[in-house]
Amino acid sequence: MFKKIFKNLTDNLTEKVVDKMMNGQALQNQEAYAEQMKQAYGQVDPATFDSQVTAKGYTTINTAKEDPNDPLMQPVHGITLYDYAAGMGKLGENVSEDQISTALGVERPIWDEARKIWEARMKEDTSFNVANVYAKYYGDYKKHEKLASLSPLPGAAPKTDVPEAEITANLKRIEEDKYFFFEMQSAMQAAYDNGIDGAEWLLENIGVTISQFNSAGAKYMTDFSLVAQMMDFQDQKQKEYNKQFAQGLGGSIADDVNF
Amino acid sequence: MSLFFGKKPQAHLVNNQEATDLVTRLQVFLAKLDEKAQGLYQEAKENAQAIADADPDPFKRSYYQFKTGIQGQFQALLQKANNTYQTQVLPKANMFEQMKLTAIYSEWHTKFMYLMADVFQGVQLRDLEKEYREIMDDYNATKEKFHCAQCGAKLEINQFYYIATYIACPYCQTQNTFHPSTKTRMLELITRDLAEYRHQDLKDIYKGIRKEQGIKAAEQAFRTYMRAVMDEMNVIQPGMEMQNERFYQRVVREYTHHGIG
Amino acid sequence: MEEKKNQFSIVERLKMRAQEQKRAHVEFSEAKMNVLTCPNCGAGRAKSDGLTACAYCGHAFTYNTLVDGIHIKRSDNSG
Repeated sequence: MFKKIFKNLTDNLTEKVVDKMMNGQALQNQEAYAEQMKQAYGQVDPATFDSQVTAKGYTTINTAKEDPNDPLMQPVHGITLYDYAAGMGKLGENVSEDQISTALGVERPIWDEARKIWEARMKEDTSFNVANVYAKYYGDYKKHEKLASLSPLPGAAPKTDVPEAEITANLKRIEEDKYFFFEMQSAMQAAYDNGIDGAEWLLENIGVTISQFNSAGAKYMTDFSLVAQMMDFQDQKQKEYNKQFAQGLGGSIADDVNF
Repeated sequence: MSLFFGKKPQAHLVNNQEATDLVTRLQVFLAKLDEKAQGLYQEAKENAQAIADADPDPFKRSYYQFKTGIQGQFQALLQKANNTYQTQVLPKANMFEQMKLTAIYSEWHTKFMYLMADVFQGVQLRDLEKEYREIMDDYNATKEKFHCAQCGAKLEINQFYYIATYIACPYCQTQNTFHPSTKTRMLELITRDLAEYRHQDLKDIYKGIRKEQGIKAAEQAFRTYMRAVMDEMNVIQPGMEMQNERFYQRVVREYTHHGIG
Repeated sequence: MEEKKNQFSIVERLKMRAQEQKRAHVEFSEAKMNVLTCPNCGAGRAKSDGLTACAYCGHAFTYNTLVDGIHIKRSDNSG
C-alpha cells in the first residue's frame, strides 16, 4: 500500500544515483547499481520520510495516532482496535472466534459486527492511519490482557510435527534475531518462486503460522533503514534456498541457456 | 534504464569482427531465452484455467501456488538475461556497439515483459455467478428450517445474514442467535469480484477511454464504473451501505490524486 | 533413448507441486440457530429487553455499549 508513495520518494533517490553516474562514476554492473541504491535507501532518514509522507496526506507507522476524537477510531460495540487486532492475531493461531468473543466479554454477533466494521474502516481510511495503528497492535497481540492466554481448542492447533518447545523458541528467535526473521522471509519467497507454498513450508519447518511470523516480525518490516540494510543478506539467502527448492524441479528453466 | 550502465567508452576502436561477434552472440543468447520464455508461456497458459477449475480450496491456493512458480521461472530467465547483459556484454562493448546492443536488449525485454504480464490474463479463477447461486440456494434452503425453541413458531429470516445475528421470534419475541454456515460466510471472498464482473462492460468503457485519452479524461467513466460496482456490492451483501459509500470516496480520491484504478 | 514419459517439464512439475501440496482442511459448518437464555437465572431473553442485560435478574450479557452497527443498533442497549 505504500508502494505508490515510496515510488515517488525513491524516484528522487534514483535521481541522486543517476547524478553520481553522470559525474563520471561509472557503474560496472547490476550489483554495483544495487549497492548504490542500497546506500541511498539506507540514507533515508525516518523522520524525513515520515514528514514527506505526512505532507502527502498519509501516515506511517510512526506518525499514526489513535485519536480518541477520530470517528474512525471509536470502539465498535465496545470492541477497540486493539481488541480487533489482537483477535485477528489469535485467529492466526487457530483460536476460534467463539473463544475470542467470550474472552472479550461479548456474544458472537457483536464480535462479528465489530470485525466487519473494523475491516471496512481500514478500507475507507485514505490516510492509512487505521491500518498503521492496526499493524502496531497486531505486532503486540500477545500482550493483550484478555486474549493473550487463549489457546486453540484440542485438535484445532496448527498441524505441525515441530515440538512445542521448539515452536516457542523459534517465535522468540524471530522477535530477537533479525537475521533469522529475514532468512525465513527469504526462504518463503524462494519457496513460492519454486511453486511451493511458503506459508506451509514455514509451518512444517519451524512450526510457526504465517500470522504468528508476521506479528513477531512486524517491527522489522516497518523500519525502512533496516529493510535496506538487510537487502544483501536476503538476496544471498534467497539464492541459497532457491537452489534447494529448485532441486525437485530439476533446476530452473534458465539453467541450460549459456551466453 | 540500462542505457546509462556500462564501461566508459574505449579510447581506441575495437576490431569490427569482435564487434559483430558480441552483437551476434547477444542475439543468439536472447533468442534461446526467448524460445524458453515462449515455451513456458504456452504451456502455462494451456494449463492455467484447468488448474484454477480443479482447485477445491476456497482460497484457490493451489492455483496461486502454480502461478507464483511460473512467475519464478520467468524471473529466472529475466535474471539470467540481465546478469549476462550487465556483466558479460556491456563491459566488453565499445561506444558504438553499446547503442546496438541496448536496442537489441530493450526489444527483447519489452517482448519478454509482455509474456510475463499476459500469461495468466483471462483465467477465470472462479465461476462467480455459479458460486453465488450455490451460496444463495444453500442459504435460502437452510433458512426455512429453523423454529423457535420457546414457542415452536417458524423463525423468519427475511434478510441475507452473512454474520452471526440476533433474530427475535416474531410471535413470542424470544431472542435467538443465527450462525450462518461457513458457505454463507465465504460470500465475502467473492463479493467485490462478482460486483466487478457484473459491470465488466463499464470497466471496458473506462479502460478504453483511459488508454485513448489518458487518466483525467477517463475519470467520469471510472466514477460511473465504481459507482455501479459499489451499488452491486450493496445488493450482494446488504447492510454495509455506509461503509461502501466511504470506500467509494476513497477509491475516487486515489484515482484523482494518483491515477490508481 | 529419451525416457520422455519420466521427463516432466518444469510446468508439469510445478502443476504437480501445486496440486499435491498438503494444506489444513478448511472446515465447513452448517448454519445454526441457538435460543438465548440468561446464564444466571435461565429466563428467556425478549427483544424488547435489549441485548446487554437480563430483564429479570439484571445479569450483564456484556458490559460493552452497543452502537449503530450493521444489524445491531444503539437502541439494543438494555435499560
